[in-house]
Amino acid sequence: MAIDDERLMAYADGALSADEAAEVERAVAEDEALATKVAAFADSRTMVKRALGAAPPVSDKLAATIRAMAEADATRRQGPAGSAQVIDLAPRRRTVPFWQLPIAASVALAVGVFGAWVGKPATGDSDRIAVAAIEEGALVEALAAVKSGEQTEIGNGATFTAIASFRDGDGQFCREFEHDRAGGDTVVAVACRTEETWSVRFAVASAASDDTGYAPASSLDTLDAWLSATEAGAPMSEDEEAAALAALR
Amino acid sequence: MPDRFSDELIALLPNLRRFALSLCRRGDLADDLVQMTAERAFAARDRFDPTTRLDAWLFRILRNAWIDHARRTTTQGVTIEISDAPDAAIVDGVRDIEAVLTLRKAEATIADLPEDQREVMMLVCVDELSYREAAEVIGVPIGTVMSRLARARLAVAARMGIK
Repeated sequence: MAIDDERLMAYADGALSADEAAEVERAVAEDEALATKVAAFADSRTMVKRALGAAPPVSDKLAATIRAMAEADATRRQGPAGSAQVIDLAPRRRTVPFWQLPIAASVALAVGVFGAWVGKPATGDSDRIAVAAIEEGALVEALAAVKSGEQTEIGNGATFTAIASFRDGDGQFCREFEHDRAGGDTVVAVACRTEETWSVRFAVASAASDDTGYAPASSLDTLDAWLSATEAGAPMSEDEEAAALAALR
Repeated sequence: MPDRFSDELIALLPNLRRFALSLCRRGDLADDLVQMTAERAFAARDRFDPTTRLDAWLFRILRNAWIDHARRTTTQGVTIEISDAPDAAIVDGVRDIEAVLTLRKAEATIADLPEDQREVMMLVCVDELSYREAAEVIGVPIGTVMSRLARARLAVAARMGIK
């Protein structure tokens, strides 16, 4: 039996008959290169599922449009008026606007104003959380140059990590990034390019409770919900991002 | 009287949008494709064999709608090979930036694949169609699906340094 890549893949996916699988197993047991390939198939599947598997609810508008279609279809199928019973469709899901999401006590929703981050109190503290005064020039430079996945210092011991670039629902070029103040707060934000300037569209801050400076999962949930609500496009590939950044100059 | 077809279609909207986004990479267009798909699906519902997977049937409709759209709007100049990933890779309980970066890198790696490889990857690895079901969605032989899929997964494994 020829043990080609497709057969190894089918084996990894559990798509072979018992007899075929047994033959492949024997071959794999004797050849480490084959075993490594099987593992690569299995791991890549897991990784792809994890990376691309999220299926957030569609926008309210789309859901409403489709429900209306379903209702019209049902009416059409019912036949003559008077004989109809209202079809009970899937119960409407209330999609909570992202700013009404329950926010963990340690996370403050920051409305980004270019040049400063200011936090709204999450717990009824009267103190506002001033997360950071952004080094304007350095941030602009970083947004225009740093590739997603890379990091740079932007003054006062703060670091900027570019996470992803994408186009928003209006086709504008946006970048998701993280800003960590040394020993202080972490902000995950999205800034979009309009005309000649960057404006911060969304920011979520957390007062770091430890020194790790990592944004907690809850703030990422809030960000993801916002991305969904604003019909953000998919993250750009390296090449696309490079092209979009080059176009800024 | 409950309408299973409608209920299931509505329940599949997130999956449809995910697949649409993987094809066209734009949020607004993905919504349009989903809407077009629903329209055509309701119109053709009597042709659906309920013993088969509804999502696979809808993906085929969606993919054809995408091809129609692409044909109608042949663009000026370079078409950027774009890719997908749903709006946001929700990272369960992930607390550190490293894991987020890895996921974003995976998304970008998949974005660089040829469109035909990416598409089979989506249908089999994410939507969990069988090779045969994926072949029916795309309209190619099962062997073609398998060879594209194998190449795609090995490329991703190599780029991500999966050992």
